[in-house]
Amino acid sequence: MDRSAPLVAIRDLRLNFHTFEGVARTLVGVDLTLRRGDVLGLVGETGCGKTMTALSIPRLIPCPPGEIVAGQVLFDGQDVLAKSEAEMQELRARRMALIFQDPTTNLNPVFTIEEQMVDAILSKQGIRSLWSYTPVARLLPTPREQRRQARQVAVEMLRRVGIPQPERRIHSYPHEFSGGMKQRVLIAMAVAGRPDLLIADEPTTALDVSIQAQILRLFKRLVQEFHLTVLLITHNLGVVARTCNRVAVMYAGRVVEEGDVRSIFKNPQHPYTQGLLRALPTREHRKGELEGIPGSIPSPLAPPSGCRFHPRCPHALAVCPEEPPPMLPMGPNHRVACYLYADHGPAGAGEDLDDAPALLGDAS
Amino acid sequence: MSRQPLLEVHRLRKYYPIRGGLFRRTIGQIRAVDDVSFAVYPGEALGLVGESGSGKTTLGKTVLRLQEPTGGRILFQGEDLTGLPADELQRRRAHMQMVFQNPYSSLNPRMKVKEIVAEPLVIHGRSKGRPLFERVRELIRRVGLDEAHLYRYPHEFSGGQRQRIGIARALALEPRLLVLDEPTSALDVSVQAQILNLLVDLQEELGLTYLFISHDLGVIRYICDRVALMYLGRIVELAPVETIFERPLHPYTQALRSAMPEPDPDAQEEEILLEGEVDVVDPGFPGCRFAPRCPAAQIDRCQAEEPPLQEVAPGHWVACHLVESGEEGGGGRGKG
Repeated sequence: MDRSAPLVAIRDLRLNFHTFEGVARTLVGVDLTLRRGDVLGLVGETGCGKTMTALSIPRLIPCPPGEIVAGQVLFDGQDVLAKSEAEMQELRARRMALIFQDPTTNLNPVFTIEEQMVDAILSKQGIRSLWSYTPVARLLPTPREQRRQARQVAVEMLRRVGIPQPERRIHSYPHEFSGGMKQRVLIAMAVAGRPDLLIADEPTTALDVSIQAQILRLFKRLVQEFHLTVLLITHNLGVVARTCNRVAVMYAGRVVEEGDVRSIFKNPQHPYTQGLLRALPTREHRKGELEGIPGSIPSPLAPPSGCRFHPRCPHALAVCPEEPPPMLPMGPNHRVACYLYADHGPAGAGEDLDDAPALLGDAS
Repeated sequence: MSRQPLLEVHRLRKYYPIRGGLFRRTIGQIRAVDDVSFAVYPGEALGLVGESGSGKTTLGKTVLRLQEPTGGRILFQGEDLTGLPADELQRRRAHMQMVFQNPYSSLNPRMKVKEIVAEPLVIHGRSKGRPLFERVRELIRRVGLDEAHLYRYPHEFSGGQRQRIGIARALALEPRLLVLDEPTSALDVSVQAQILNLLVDLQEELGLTYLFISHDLGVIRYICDRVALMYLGRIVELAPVETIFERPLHPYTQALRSAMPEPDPDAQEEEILLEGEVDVVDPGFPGCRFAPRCPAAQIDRCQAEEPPLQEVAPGHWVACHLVESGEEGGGGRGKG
C-alpha cells in the first residue's frame, strides 16, 4: 500500500437528483482529496452538497432518485463507483465509519447500548470466513466466545470515549443517556472497528457549547490515537478552526476553495469564503457593522449559469455568468475556483494575477 | 442606570410539576426559572445566554405571561402584570411581542403572508380595510421583503425570509419590547448576518428594547448591551457585554467563554473544560447549582449554601461564593 497516495480522491463528481419539479443538479464537478492523516473540514451552507459529497465515498447516496452522471471516487486507489454491492459492504464495514448530527435518531431505542455495540463490532469483523465451514472451525472462537470478546472491546471503547462506569452503563438504553453521552457512544461504535476513514457529519451541531468543546477534544485525541483520516462536515467555522488542518469550502454543488486551515482563515481568496468569514460576528465587530452576503442560496433546480456565486458576488466579472471557473492554484496548499485570479481567462476577464489579491485585500 | 426600567422582573419563579405514581400526583418539581430578578431599560438589548435546560426560553415566555409564573412579579412600565385579568393583559401585550426560534413552525402554513402580518392588527382592532393593507405593506417593506410576497404562503419562502415575516408580524402593533427567542439559530451564517443587521437597524430606528435569548455567544456579543448568563434556572452573572467577554468572574461564564470556538486558527486560548453536563440537581441540595461541575476550587460554602446574585462592581452582578464584592478581574478561578 502506498502511504503517500491520497486515501480519498473525488474527481469531477457530478450528481443529479430526479425530483417531481425537475432535475436538481446537486453536485457539479466536486474535486476533493484527503491525504492520510488529514482532518479536513468540509464547510458550506445548507444545501451546498457537503453531505452528498461525503456520502459518495461509502456510496450511500440513494440512487434513484440520485444519479451519478460523471466523475470518479477513489478510496485508497480503488474505484468505489465500480465495485459490487458485496465488495462495498466489506469496504464500509472494515475501513469507513460514519457519525451523524443527531445522536438520538442513530441509536435504536429498543436495544441496549451493549446489544448495539456488540452487533456493530461483530459486523465490522466481517461475514463468517470460509474457514468456519471446514474442520478448522473447532479451533475458532464460538459465536458465544466472539460475542464475549466483542463485549470486552465495547466496554474498553466506552471507557476510552469517556463514559463513566462503562461496565454498568453498557446495559443502559439510549434514552438513559444525554445527548453528549449518546454522541460519545456513537463515536465509540465508529472507531471500534479501527476504520481508516471517519466521516463526521455535523457531529456537534445538536450539542451545547460546553459539551461541544468536550466532544471536539475527544475527537482530536482519537484522531491521534487511532491514526484516523477525518472528513468533518460542518457549517461552524469556529469548529473547523479548532479541529481541522485543512478546509474545503463548498458553494452550490462545488468546492470553491480549499487549502490548509491557516491560509483559508487568514488569507481567504474566494469572494464567498471572504463573505462567509465576514458574516460571522467576532470580537472585532461593533453593532451594525456585520456584513452578510446579499441574496440567498440558489435552488439546484434552476441554478445560475457559469459560476454559481456570481449573482451574489461583489466582484463579479463579465465572464463569470458564462462558464464555471477552473480550480486555480494560489500557493503550495491553496486552490480557488474564481476568475479574479485567472491571468488570462476567457474573454472579458481583465484581471492580472498580481492585481487580483490586492483588489480583494481592500475589501477584506 | 437611573432611568426607569421598561421591564422589571422581581424574584420570578416558574416550576413545572413532575407527575407520577398512582393518580398522577405531583411527586416533584422542575425549577425551570428560580428566583430570577433583572431589569431591562428602554432602548437596550439584554442578552439571555445559557445552555439547553438553563431556563432561558421559559424565562422569556414567562415574562410575557405566555406561561403563568409560579411566583414573583413582572413589572412592565411600572405596572404589575402578574395579577392582571386576561383582557387587560392582552392590551398590554400589544407593547411586548415575541419572535420565535423556528421560522418553519411559527407561521401558519394555511395563511398568506398578508394575513399573517395583519392578524395582530385585526385581533387588537387597530385598523381594517385600506389602512390595514397600507400598514401591512409598510411592514413587509420595512423587513426587506417585497410587496409581491404578500400573496404567497410561508412554504414558498426560505428560512431567512420566514424569519423576516415573523419579525414583521411582531412589529405590527408597534411594540416597545421584543422578546427574541433564538431568532437566528435555525439560519445559515450569511443569512444570520442579514437578520442580525435588520434587528440592529430596527432597534435604532424604532427605539425598540430587546430581550435577546440565545446560546450563541458570538451573536450575543454583537447584538447586546448587557448579558445575563443562566445556569439551571438562575442568573449566575449579569454585566455589560464587554465585561462578560473581557473580565468574566463566574467560573461558568469563564468556561463557556473559553468553550466558544472562534473562527481563528491562532486563537487557541487555554480551554477551561467543563466536566459532566447540565444536570438537574436534587431539589434538596442546598448549595450552588453549578458546584458539581465547577472547575474552580470548591469550598464548603459552595456545597452548603446557594450564592445570592450580588453587585460586585457597578452594573456587574455575580452569584458565586468565590467572588468577593469589589474585586476586579482575575476572577473566582483559583481563589479560595
